[in-house]
Amino acid sequence: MQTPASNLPAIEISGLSKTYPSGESELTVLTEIHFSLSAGESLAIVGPSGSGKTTLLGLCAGLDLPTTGSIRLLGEALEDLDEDARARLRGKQIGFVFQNFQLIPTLTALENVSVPIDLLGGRDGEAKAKRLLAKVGLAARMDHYPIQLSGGEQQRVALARAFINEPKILFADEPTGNLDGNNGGTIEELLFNLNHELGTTLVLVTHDSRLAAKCDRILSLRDGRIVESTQSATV
Amino acid sequence: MSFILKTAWRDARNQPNRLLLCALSIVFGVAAMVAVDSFAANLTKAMDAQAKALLGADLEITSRASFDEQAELIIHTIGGTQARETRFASMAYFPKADQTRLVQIRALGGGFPFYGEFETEPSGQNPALAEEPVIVLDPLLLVQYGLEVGDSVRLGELDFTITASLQRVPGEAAFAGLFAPRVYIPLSQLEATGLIGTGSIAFHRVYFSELAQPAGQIVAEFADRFASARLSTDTVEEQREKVGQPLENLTRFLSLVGFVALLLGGVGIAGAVHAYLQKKRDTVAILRCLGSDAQIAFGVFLVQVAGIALVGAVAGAALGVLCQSVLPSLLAPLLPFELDFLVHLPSIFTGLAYGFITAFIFGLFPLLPLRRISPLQAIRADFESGRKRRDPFVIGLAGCAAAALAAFCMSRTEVWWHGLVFAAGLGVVTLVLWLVALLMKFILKRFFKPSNFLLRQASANLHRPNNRTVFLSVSLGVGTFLIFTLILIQTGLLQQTDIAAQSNEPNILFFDVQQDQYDGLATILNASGVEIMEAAPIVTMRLSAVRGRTLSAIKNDPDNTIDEWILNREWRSSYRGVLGSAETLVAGEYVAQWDAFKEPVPISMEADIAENLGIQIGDTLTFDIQGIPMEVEVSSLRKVDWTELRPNFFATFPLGVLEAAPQWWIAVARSPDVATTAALQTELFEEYPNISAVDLNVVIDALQSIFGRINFAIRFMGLFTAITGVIILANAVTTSRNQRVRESVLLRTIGASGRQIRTILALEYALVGFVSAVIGVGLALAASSALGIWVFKVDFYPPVAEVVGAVAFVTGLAVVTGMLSSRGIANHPPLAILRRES
Repeated sequence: MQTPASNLPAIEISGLSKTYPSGESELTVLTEIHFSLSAGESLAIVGPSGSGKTTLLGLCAGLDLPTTGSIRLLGEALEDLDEDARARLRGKQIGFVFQNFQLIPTLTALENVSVPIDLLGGRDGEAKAKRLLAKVGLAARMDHYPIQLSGGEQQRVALARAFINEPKILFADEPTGNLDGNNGGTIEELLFNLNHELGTTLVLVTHDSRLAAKCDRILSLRDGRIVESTQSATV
Repeated sequence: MSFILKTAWRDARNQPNRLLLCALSIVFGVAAMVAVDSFAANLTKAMDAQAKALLGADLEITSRASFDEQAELIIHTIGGTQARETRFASMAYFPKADQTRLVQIRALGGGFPFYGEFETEPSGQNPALAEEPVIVLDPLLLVQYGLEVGDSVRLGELDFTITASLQRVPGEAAFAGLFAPRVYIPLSQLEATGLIGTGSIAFHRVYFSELAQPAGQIVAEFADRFASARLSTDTVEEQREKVGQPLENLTRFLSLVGFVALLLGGVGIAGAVHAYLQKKRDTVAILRCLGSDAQIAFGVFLVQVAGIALVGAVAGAALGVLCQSVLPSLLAPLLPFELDFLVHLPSIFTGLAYGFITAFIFGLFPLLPLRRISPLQAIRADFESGRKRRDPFVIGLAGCAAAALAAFCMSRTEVWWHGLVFAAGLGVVTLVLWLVALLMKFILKRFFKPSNFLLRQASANLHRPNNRTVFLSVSLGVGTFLIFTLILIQTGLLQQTDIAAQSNEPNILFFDVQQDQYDGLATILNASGVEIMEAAPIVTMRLSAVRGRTLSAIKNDPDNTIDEWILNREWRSSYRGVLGSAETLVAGEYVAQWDAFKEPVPISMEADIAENLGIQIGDTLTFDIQGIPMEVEVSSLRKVDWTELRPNFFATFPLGVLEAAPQWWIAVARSPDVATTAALQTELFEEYPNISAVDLNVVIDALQSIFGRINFAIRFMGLFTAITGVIILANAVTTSRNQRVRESVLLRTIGASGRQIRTILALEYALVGFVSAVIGVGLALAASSALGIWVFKVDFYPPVAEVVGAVAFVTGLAVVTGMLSSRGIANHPPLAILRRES
């Protein structure tokens, strides 16, 4: 298990704003966001549709750069890194889980899980992927293609892929949004179990207040601003 | 109807670029067809307008010997206005440059040409009308030797004064003087040159005009007398046929090559429309939910496909008109008449029609399944309407398309089954490429699991859902096949002529060497360090009977299978005691010496001509050897390698028989360099002006020049096919762009660098390009070898450098086109992954 550098926050956001050009004017999606998250903590970003949740998640993960403000991820200022350097950082330190699973249709479950290690040129991808797939209950479905798997199974493959590099931070965008209650529950359980087991910092976007309540902290957004930041009742 | 048109327009206006790219697939095919058809129509028009000038007379009679009494009587009987010409090859000496060169001498008398103009610069210098030693030269000679009007040229023993350079003679292309430049002199001055002697090869001609009857009627009426006097004839109609036929064949072939580009474009349209309609399935389902029936929903996209077809066809026709102006300038020197650039409307409309129909038919293939989309798909994207049944409309459409293809090809060839063979060949090539592409996908999916992730991902892209691997492989492969076959045939044929480059082969040929000049020739050559490699005496004779049957009996036999040219030709036979170096004995016994002084004389025959004559070992022939009949018996058959530059003959006699007959010699030698050849030619001219020395390097250069022009025209059309292939590749990449962007973004999100994504894309295109190139080149090798063996009768040696070059070029082209079409995919902002469907 990897442990984050002792006193450094895993994520540190200050004065973050994001605007997009919209026709002749500009559309402000996020305004003056400040927060930080310690290593191993879990954070749920909630809010109504269009409040900027997903944009914030993407910016935190270095998928785009803010218009103003700063994002430090594991001590690295993202604005100082170019796209390839940010991609390397994601490849080594970050995992992702998406609402629509985002598996590569031409690769089997096993191959999909080992992609992050393959990209880094690692040699133990297959063995690790097998272990993780067994852990998420898909030992018998390793050679299946995404199209041959159910939604729940696909999301479990995506979870295994997200954890294969033992990331220090996991970003999850509506991880149960496309799943029914049973499957959603299984994914939740796996997500938090792996999170605790590996000591990963977790940031998830959700509409589901029950799922949000399982996190250490909840950040509520409205019209691109933080309207509330609370400690979860379960803590 | 207005709803269909309105909806089709509304749906199309948001994606004009996608639709225009679809239309682009057929642009180059239509352009090729319009260009070639317009060119062919202009050729026909020009030939019709200048028909009589193609011959310069109404009738022409030719003899390979001086006209004898019988021939003169026929000429006199035909009457009309007459002009005479004697033409032969000989050496010319240019005192100003102190150099010699083989030229075609044409001694002209009378009022030729009767039609068209003998164009000179300065004008009006037709030597036929002159009574003094004047000469008109091919402009090539003036340039080569720095000559001007007023300078002199020596032919044989007479000096001529240059009065003009030749611009155009009725019925002859500029290329007529390519092997040996033409010089025209007055017929009245020919005898004084002393060049026409015993056994000299010369053609004697009489041109006629103002005849009492049509030329065709005279030819029919005098047929027997012409044959008996061994005269051949040519009329305006025959000349038109002779000139027109090769050009017609060439334009037909070019149009087939253009049609292949159009067909490929059709395949491209099918692929592009298929990808386009995949995204429209929801629209169709929604339209159906809203109450439109299947026909209306189908009609909306049918209108769009028709629009694509029309736009592509119109753009292609416009481009074709532009390209048409290129072909005349390429082929003009090969044409014996002037060709103007004219816009030919019927060709444009034909091209438009072919383009529209092709695009429409191919567009219908992916369109027809739209009729079966269920409205349920609008609410359940994964809805599948049960087991897929075969659509009889699709099967019918495929049948119609195949029939139309075969009909088109048959209409474009002189013999219908040639067209069918072309269509079937194309079908086989396409099928092979199709199967190989499927096999490649299967192998990549099942067995190709490289440890390198980038290569694994690239190969996985080739069998992804909705991939265009098969379309790409077929289009690139067919383009490669067509162009490379042409390159191989050209290379193969030129290999045969590349004699001069071989260090031990002769490169200089001497003919018209009189018997008493042979020793002198050898002495002159030896003094220059050149040795005669092989020499042979030539005795002219004619065939008068085969196995006891006279030629007239054979010719009158309706079941006769012997070719006319064999019966009518003047045989140039030789005698020698050993086989020539290019000959192999295949049957019987070669008789070296015959001292029996009795007939039949045992001779050796070339195997192919013996087969045509229907004779075997032991059969007899009768030759008329300059007035003396001689019966011979076939004692042996030889195979002759005609590609070797050696004195080769159809019939060779043993020693001891023909030595006393009138004869001349032919010899071959190898000159070490161009300077030695030039010096030899000059020295020989001074000593023996009648001996012609042919520098084979000049002949080979001329051959390459002709091949070059025709090949360039063919490659120019083949290029249209290749461009279509590139457009299809660009189209295929564009249609799968969204999918690629999604995957690229996903890979970037989980840590891939831009370089890794670009590497995956490049490897994918390289794989498709490489496999298509290997199969296309492989098929081209097979096709060119088959053509070499059965059509051109030459051996092909696969040019390794060209093969490697072609595979590398096509692979590179696929990578470059693919990468250019994929610009931006690798650096798409990864945030998009969270925006999509969220």
